[in-house]
Amino acid sequence: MHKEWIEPALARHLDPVAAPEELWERVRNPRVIQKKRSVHTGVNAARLGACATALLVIFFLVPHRGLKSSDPGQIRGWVQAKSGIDVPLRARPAGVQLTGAQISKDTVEIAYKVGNRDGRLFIGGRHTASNPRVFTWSMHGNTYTLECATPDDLKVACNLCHIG
Amino acid sequence: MLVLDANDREVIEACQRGDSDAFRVLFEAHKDRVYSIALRYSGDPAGAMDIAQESFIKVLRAIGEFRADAEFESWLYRIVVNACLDHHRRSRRVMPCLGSLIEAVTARGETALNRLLRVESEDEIQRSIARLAPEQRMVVVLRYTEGLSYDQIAEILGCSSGTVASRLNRAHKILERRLSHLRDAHLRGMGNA
Repeated sequence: MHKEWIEPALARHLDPVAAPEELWERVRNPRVIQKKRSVHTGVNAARLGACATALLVIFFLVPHRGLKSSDPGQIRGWVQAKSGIDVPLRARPAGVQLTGAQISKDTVEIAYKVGNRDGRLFIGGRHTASNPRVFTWSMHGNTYTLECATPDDLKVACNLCHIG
Repeated sequence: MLVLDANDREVIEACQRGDSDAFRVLFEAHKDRVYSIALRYSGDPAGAMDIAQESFIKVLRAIGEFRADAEFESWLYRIVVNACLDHHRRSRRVMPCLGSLIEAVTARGETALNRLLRVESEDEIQRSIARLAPEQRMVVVLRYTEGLSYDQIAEILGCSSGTVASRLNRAHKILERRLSHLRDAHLRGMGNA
């Protein structure tokens, strides 16, 4: 019975509307506008506004050149898109947990963990093998440097790109 | 659920890298949807602005945690729904739409009296919706403002489709009872449409 009229009435009354233009200004600068209805809500809003402003400042001003991810495919695609270098990361590298990547001026850096120890794979830059925790090689015109916390970790980190 | 195209994914990925232009693109693509839900849920333009603002700030804060294999719109809907419910808990009240009443007496192409009656009717519907339990009201808004299916609403709210159907059915019956005096006017309006 209610389908006769209440559903059309609701559909008509609850139709979508356009957002006001000032919404962007409020998102971009959360301290703007917002008339407060009481001292209590004013204090809460000031706290929210301060936090949001800090977040926005960090978001817009701090350069973002990194990717946090444990997905080898996502990291591989991101590095290739940003640097043109195709790093042949394996889909499920045994014993190694990827954590992300970042790109500095002339170096791609891929971060990973072996157990709870951090390691880095650098592509490019001037990293050289100077101790048993570092291994450097060249491939397709790029210098690769694998850096680990221990020599044993170095053997495991080879699984990033190789089988067994 | 609704599926993002490749361009949207590119925009989201750019946002995750901190690209402020990409966030503006994302905002423009979804601002009406977010504001509509906020307005229809709260019934209050000022409250809707607060909810929409808070929702986009949450999006900005959490976009880095969004997984590429998930549905962005479902993720966005959940953020807006939570912002609406948080706002409801904080305010515990609904402001009448004074703006629409002011608009009524300045209307063109319609007699002020007819428009005032229509606006009064709309406000009455809004007040009735506002009196629904929050979970019923949200189902009504997602169904009629966004046109979502029961399955889509269930995914967003984290309940079963049967629960969605049940809440919607109860909401229909409550609203039909509360607004029964408007029934004839609405049926006449539909006939004239």
